[in-house]
Amino acid sequence: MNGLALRGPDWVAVRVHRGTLWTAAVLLVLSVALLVAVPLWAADLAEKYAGSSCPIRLSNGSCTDNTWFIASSDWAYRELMAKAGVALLLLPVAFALFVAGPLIARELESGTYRMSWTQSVSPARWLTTRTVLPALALGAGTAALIGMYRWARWAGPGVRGNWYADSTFPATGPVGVAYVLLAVALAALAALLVRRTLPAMGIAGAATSIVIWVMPHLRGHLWPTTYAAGNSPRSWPAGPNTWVQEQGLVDSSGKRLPYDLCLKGMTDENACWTKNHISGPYAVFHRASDYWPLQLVETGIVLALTALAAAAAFRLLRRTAA
Amino acid sequence: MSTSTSPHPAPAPAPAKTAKTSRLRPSGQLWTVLRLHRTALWVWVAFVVISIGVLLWVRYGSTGVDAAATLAGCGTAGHRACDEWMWSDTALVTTRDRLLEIGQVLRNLAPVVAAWAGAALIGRELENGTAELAWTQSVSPARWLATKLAVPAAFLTVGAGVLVASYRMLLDWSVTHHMLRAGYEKYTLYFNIGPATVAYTLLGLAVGALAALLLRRAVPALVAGAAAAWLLTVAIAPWRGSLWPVGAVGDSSLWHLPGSDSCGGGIYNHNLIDSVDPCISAQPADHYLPVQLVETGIVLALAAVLVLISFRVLHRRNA
Repeated sequence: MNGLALRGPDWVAVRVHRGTLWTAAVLLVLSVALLVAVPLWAADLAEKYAGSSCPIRLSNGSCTDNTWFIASSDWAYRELMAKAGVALLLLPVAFALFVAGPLIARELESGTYRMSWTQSVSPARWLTTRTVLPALALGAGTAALIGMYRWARWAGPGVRGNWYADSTFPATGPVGVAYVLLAVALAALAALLVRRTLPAMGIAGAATSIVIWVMPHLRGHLWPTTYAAGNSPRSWPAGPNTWVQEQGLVDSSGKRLPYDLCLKGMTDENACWTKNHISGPYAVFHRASDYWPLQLVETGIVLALTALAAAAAFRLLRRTAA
Repeated sequence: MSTSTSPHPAPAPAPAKTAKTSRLRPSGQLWTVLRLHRTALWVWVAFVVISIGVLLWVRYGSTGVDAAATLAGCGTAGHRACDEWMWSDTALVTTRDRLLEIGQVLRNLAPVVAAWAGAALIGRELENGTAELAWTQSVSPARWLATKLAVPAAFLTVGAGVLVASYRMLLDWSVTHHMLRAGYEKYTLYFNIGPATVAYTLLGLAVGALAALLLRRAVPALVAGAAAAWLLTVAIAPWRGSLWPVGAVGDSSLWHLPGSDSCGGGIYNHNLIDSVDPCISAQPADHYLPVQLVETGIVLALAAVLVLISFRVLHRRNA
């Protein structure tokens, strides 16, 4: 117990922000409760009514109220998964705001940091408390939520988001935790750069938002793709659950042509296919098995960025304190 | 806080010197607000300009032109049906995704505005005491708050108004070219952006101001204002479908798309399968204006009530 107890500057930081920490803890518990309850409830109802003649999702007024009830449970589950995915995606932005503003820049703005630095707490120790401690706590909390999200995806009924969807991919793997760590590092850097609460929050929030908006556009290129071509006009070469990066038609010489070559403004598709010697459609895609390599490569990149931002923040601190 | 932003009262002789050269320059309290919040002002102007640039790019960029070309003549003799393209054409899917994303941004302005108003506009001045300083400089608290709300309200109304008008033009273009899926997207896109979007940004301003006056601290007001504005937006949205009577069964104007079967009190469409019940809240496209105006009225009334409460709170604190 004593080994775990916080001491010195760590205890001070936790004590100062106890209100925020309690709020975060309550929100965490509520989120976990929702992620447990809703999938179980929806799965249970879907199972109960699977054998009935009433369709589950299409309530047209001809079935009983139960249909409507199931429909809303199914809907609640899907909405929860969609919204929770987006919430997990945006979580790093909220963390960046907190670390940059109340945790670091406010102390620099109000001057309370000087008081800490004279109380046998070195500047580096002071910043470590304000970066490593939140990184550990927020990272662990996010990892728990991601674990719950993965479980809820598995436990609920019906359609789940595609594994590669922008709001699903970071909510199901280590990438989500890496973004939280990056947010903390960017927040520290922003706070030390401007040393004012609200501008630091603005800059940290914007920087984190830009990173989580840009990365999905690069994601597809982070691991080699698979190429496959079908040998008849209607055979789609990529299987189900694949993330298609590029598609088109390929002719007998192996040349890739645009997929809509024979679609635009034409009704006789077959004649067009024969005329252009098309042997079938092709697709360039990621298989579902590329999920882990993609996750790990992106995690590595984000962690490298984190290290850069953290190093810059500590350098800046050394200059400030010197 | 740098020295240039602190509201120092100008030394007495200075105004006489500059009076001639600055007829266009706003004076007193108005100038203070503009000067103090010039960063926010420029961020807002940049946001509006960049957004309009993005809207133009969506329409005139290669993808948008491609999507329009794909659908040219669809539904007429010798061409495919318009809805055959809905899922297959990459340019079309991309254009539609961009429309949805920009709409998402426009619909979520209120929490951002509330965060700014709660923290930077009002909360910070109450926290560090510069508000009290202003009140001793022959600016009454009520006048102070009125200017603080009126100036950003003017900028928000003009900026959001221009954005909404541009977005509606883009949306009209996409409807003319049959780019929207029936039902679901008309519900999220078509009915979502309009005069009410402008009203929501003003609601965000009112919510942020009230949060700041109640909490009198910048960061808590930022969090509370943003959360309250977001909750209000979320709470109002589901009622949008009930703001105006739904269309009659079999009304051919509903959703304007082939392949719709009638159901319940409205029209069922296959493309609505992702929502809970394709039949609820079915509103034909020509209900757009009544629905928008009713919603605008409700949101503005709510904002007015919040502003009134803000003045009340301010009055109590200073009585």
